[in-house]
Amino acid sequence: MEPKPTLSDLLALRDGERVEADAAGAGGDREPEVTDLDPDRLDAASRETLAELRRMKAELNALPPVTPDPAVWEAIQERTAGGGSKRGWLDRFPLATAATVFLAAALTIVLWDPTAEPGGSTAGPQVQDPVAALMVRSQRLEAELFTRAAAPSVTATSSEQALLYGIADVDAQLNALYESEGVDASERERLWRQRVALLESLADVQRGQAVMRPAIY
Amino acid sequence: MASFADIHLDSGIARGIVRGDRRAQAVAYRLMSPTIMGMAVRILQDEGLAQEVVQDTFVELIDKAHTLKDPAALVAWVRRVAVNHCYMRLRSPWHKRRSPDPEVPEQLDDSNGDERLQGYRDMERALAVLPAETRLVIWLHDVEGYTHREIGELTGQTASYSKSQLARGYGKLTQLLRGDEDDGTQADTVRPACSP
Repeated sequence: MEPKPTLSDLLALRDGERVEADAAGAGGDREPEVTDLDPDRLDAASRETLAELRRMKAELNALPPVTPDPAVWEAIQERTAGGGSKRGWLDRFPLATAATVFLAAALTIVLWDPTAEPGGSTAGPQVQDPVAALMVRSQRLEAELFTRAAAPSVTATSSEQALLYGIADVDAQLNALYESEGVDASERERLWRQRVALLESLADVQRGQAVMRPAIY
Repeated sequence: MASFADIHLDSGIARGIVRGDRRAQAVAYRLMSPTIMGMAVRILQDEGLAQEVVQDTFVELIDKAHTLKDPAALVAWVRRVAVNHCYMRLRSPWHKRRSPDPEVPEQLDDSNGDERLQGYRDMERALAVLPAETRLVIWLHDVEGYTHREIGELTGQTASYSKSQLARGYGKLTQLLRGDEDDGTQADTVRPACSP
């Protein structure tokens, strides 16, 4: 008759590990004796204990994650402000980079009046380009999102990540468009409209998260 | 699920963190901090210390991510840093002095509320009763998938020590969750050689 397995044996069996005899504990260079337990040859009590060990492991793994206090992220930001990267500000905020560059372009479009005389009056915007309005809207949304990103409160969703990558993709297309010879005005407007729509969706997601900060239990 | 293995960090986010991108850091925080916090609070049984672990882990990530050669290894790197921060706190004399000898609660199951939530609470309360190093071993082995050898290396002990802690911990958990005075397990006894 097989000796009754210990809890260590049953844990090793549960985890698919080899069962080692305690020879290792005796010291020396001798390799520990290794054997396999046959679950089919366990007595009823051991089988029951094995099932219970499996159940407990599943329960441990099912324990929910715990959301830290929002103050933790604020403290992290304070501690890492001005450090953490040897790169410049623009490299650290790639989305803002696009917005900043294009905001400059937008201001040029909005403020430049091709009919004005050199040295004439500066009586404000004369041209209302729809793209310029989209750029300004985009910039405002980015500012809102960036402020919210400073205080994350819940687990990021895959939709949030998908939107961020969608925005990055639009930025790449806009960059390519501006670098190409002769900017296609309709394509430029389409991309800026798409960018604003993605930012709106992202802001909606994050506003929803801010409202639905869940309790752990 | 509360394991690091369940975290999928997009490669673009990981590269952003290595670049020092604040937005990528914020996304990573949202993804990883609940897992770090979950692990730390269960091992340390102290919410304040667990928040410190989260904070220190992310400060280290932000400060040192640019040295990471393989962004794909970022989650594993964060896990190692977080585990080290937990272990440092566990070993600190201050923490040891504060931790009272665990006592077995009179009754774990008060049969209130949803059965699943009750199961969580029972497991949480049973974990809290275990000695801190036993909790560490159980969590790292059974939730994070550490091998006994890896736990031995972390704690400066042997793999056998880790196995022994795991068995003792499960012996106690079984006893607590069953509500037994003595469940007859042989966790603390020397294992008889098993026949092949």
